[in-house]
Amino acid sequence: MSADPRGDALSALSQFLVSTSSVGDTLQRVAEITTQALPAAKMAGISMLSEKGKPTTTIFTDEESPQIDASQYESGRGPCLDAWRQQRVVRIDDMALAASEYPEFSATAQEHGVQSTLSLPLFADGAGVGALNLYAATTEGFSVEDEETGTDLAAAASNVLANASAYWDARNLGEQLTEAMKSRAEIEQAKGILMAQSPGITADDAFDLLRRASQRENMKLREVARRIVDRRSLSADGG
Amino acid sequence: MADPLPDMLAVIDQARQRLGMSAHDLWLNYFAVGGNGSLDDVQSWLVNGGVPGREHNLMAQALNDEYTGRGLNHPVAYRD
Repeated sequence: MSADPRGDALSALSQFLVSTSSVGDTLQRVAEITTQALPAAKMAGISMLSEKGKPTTTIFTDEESPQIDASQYESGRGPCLDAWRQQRVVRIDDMALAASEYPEFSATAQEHGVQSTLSLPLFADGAGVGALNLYAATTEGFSVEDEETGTDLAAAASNVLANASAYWDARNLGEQLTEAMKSRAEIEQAKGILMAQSPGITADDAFDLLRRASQRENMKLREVARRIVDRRSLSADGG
Repeated sequence: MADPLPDMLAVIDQARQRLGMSAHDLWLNYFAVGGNGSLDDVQSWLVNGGVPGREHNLMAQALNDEYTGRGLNHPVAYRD
């Protein structure tokens, strides 16, 4: 084992290449690196909003993690939710003693052999976007030093997450713009064909012809344009 | 007689909202069918009006293409 797991984890996070991994893969790696840096953690999970806008454990190193967390989401209370909503570290040293504050989570966690937890907030653009949750099989599994290490790792993970999101947003926008440019080119080409076929009509007239055909046949404008371009190609090929 | 143009623009914005499209989504689809306005232009038109006729019809086309994909035939009126 490394003599400096905290340094190794921070180094691994700082060198993580967001361009080669999706946001999901990035978060999975964050969870794995954190459990390696904090050996008391027998598993880790990340709570975030699902596509349907509900809190869920999207990333986990063990399938028990989402099962334990489900009790928080159903009841609306738990350490992961507090870490996320209040943007603060929540450490539970003895799960049995957490029953008064988080009765549902405490019961479920103990059923799964979890006796202490550390929940760390994740940020993006200064707002809480989720929580990184660590689960230990013993009481007092996480020390004050572990809490500090976890906080540093969560801050580094938040940076990685922000970079990954920005990268993939930009990449998705680039792909959307490329597709939009292809669509424009096909429509312009079809307008050019119509103008060549009917001398005297303007580009706006050609567009009107396309949109009326789109309306008449209930087809997208790009599909109407593509059909005109394809017919012209067949005609040019002698087909 | 009342100016029909503000009403036509309201129809554009209502259709956008019904389709669950952001101003950015609308701009991207409008750009894809040949629109020449920027995202800022589209956002301004939706709030303040003043959209040129050609650009209005391209926004209507962008929305109608989206409706076509959902089985509805061109409910957004063009400006003739």
